[in-house]
Amino acid sequence: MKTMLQLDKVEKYYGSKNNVTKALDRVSFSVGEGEFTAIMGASGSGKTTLLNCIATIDTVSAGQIVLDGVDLTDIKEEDLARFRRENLGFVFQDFNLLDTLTIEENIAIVLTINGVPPEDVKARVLETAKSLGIDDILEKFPYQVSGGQKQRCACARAVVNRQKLILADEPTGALDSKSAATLLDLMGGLNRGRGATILMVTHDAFSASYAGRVLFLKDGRLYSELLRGEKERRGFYHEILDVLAALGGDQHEAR
Amino acid sequence: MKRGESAMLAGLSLRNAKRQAKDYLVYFITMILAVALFYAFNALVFSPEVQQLNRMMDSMTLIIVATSIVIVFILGWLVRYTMRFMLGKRSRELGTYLLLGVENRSVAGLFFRENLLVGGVALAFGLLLGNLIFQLLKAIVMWLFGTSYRFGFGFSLRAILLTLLYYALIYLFALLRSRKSIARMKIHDLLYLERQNEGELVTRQKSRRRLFAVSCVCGVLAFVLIALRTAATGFAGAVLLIVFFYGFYTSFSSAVPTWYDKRPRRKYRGNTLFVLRSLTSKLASMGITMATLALLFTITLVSIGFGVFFSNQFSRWEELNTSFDLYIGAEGESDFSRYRPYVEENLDIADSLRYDVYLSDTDQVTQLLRGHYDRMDWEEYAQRDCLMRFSDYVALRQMLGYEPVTLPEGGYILHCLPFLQRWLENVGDIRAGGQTLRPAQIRNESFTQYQWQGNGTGFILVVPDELAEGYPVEHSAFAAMVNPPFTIEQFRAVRDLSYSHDDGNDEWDQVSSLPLIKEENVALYTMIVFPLFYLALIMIMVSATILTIQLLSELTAYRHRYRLLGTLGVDEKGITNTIRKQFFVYFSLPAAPPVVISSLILVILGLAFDSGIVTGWPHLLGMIGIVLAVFLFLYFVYILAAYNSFKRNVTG
Repeated sequence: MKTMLQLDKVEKYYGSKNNVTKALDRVSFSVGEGEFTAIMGASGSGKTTLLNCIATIDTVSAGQIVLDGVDLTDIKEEDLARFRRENLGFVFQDFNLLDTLTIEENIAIVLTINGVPPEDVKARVLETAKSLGIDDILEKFPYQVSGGQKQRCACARAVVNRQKLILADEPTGALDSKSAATLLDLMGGLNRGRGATILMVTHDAFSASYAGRVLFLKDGRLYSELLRGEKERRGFYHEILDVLAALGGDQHEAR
Repeated sequence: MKRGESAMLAGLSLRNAKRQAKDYLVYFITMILAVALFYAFNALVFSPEVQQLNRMMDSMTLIIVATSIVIVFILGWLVRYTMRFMLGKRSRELGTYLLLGVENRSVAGLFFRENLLVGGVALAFGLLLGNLIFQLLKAIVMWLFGTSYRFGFGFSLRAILLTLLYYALIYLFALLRSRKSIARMKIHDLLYLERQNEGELVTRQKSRRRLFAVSCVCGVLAFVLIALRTAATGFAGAVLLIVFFYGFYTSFSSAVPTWYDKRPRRKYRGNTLFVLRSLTSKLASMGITMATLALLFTITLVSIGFGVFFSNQFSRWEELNTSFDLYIGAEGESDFSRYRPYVEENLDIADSLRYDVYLSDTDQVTQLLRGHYDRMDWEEYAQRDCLMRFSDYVALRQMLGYEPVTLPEGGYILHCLPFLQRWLENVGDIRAGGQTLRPAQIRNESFTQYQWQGNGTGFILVVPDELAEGYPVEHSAFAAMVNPPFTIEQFRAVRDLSYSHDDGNDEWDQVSSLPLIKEENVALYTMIVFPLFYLALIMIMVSATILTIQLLSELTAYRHRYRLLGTLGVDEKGITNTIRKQFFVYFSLPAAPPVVISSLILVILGLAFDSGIVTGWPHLLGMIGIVLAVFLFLYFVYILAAYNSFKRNVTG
């Protein structure tokens, strides 16, 4: 399996000289192409910082992040936006759809930003929307559809341009459990069907159990790793809960 | 209300007032400018120096006060609009007060005090600034009248009282209304007011499209009616224009996305999609406001246009009409005995001449002007060429201080209005008194040729004395230069003599005076142009303010949207481009149709002037260009201010 993402001793400090907070402490791992990886950890464990560094929204203090052979720390400030639009797809907890655009247009905007020929836009949006089951609400505005549908729209936006890596930050955080399950099933489907590489940050064991691999972060350090392998999702879920129990203090957040 | 609660609410009022002044900075500045203009114009017309300039300045007072009252209504609308808007934006905050158990009355009081505070501060700043503007206006007026200006600091009590009165009318009305609406509000309504406007975007698309088509037809029809240039059709045209604006802007927001939906190639190109949607979502809830603004803009542009046309007319008249300090033209042969006693006794005449204007028997030159200049077709003598003796011409030129001329043997001089010269360049030989005369030269100095019983109608042929004398006298003229002082009362006395014909003839003589016409023109000009600009300035300010408030009030939403665009990979340059495009389209929307419409209206009006006043297309278009430049400049200043604070807030 080709390596899509490679982190090597990534460190991130915040604060002044006298009062340094270590948000990330020598984090190293790699994600293969087409892998669905979840990163778990309590609030303040550094998982969002990690995601932001990979998303090029934040910079690392030391170490390397390599995406598909490109070292992110080498990219010039003015080229970052271009790098993001060509390589990364985003799914946020609070959807982050543009409220003035229809569902169709919210997906299309990624293509227009990337300069896809206007005549191809509609067909590509439709194809992606179909695979996520939202082709019947394309004409609607975000405020006219449910949270689950909004998040599926965000997923469509994250994959419509065949982005190399999809970064999901608590994608089910604002959804009810049924919508959450549907969404995770669809994400799993994107992962298997399109071979999409997904990196998902969550503190919810149920969501994490949909991934093929779970990394646990504690106080900015990689604490342990679980592989699903051929296990049933339910069994994997309980394994995750066990690790969380060992991590301590965070069990009540697991479903 | 308990003491502690009242102190807390008073503190809140102060803090909210500060925040309001900051959040609605453009509104705050506009109120300051409005007060300043109120004060400046009212102080101007009540200032003793200005009132002494001309007796017409009395009417100016009335006009400025009347204009101010119109402005009270416009500003009243702005204040009410802004307050309603702020109430809507802050409904959640006000609802929270209610939820915490503060009474409706206290919340209304809070809002009232906070606005009063902002208004009061604007008033104080405005009066200070107003005094400076007043000094500037006074200097301009004094300069126009050719009087020296002395800077005098000091407030005009009458102007302050009037400004306070206008201001109180504007504010109290708006405040009392919003107070009433707060008193009636329920917690639930306040907490969920923000959600009310949603959903409007997609309803009744079909009927909106139909409305769009109908309003466009109304717009075209309006022009046909206005172009007919009668009072009745003009009024009907104006009504149709109003229908057009309201129909157009309320249906526009659904017509445009539909148009783009059918053209995905355009829609999905570059940043069009984002800009389009940002604007249509805004327009959907702003249709009526946009239409009102467009209407204001049209009135503004036409007002400025009138101002420019009037100032042009006055200066052209001045130039064309008179050249002598005193000119009297009397039909037939006259010795002006009726005027002599008064003139000789009361006026200090420096130089004068009585002479005759003769009527030739041909229309050889007149016919060249037919179709170009038919200002005095009704005058019988305007059907034929007028002649003047060379010796009279020489004497008159000397009186006016023009360079001397000679008349070669067998030649003639043509003296015409400057704008007629291009049709008279190739007159060629003329026949007079049985002789053929060659053209010697063409002159076009100011020579009293635009009015009836002047030196010809537009032109005169200067020929050797004996040849002119062979023709009948059309009218006699008395031209004089008068040493100052030559007062308007004396001029009036001379003119009154012209009315008292005792020969039963109901025609009277032409009496005119250059310096006095000049002064009258300046007075008229000040009276018409100043109030028009006053009105125009306020309208541009009010409109731009409303547009800006609407845009800046949604900064949080915009900041969110642009940040998302950044995350999705649009670089800083792309975002700046998008913001610029959005601004350009947003501020063009209510301004572009009025610019086109009022330019057309001004063309229609401008064509009604004869070629002496408006010399042709370049002149007319030049004047309209000035109108647009003045408007766009003022508008642009506001847009720039809004753009800067928008960009700083959105990308910062």
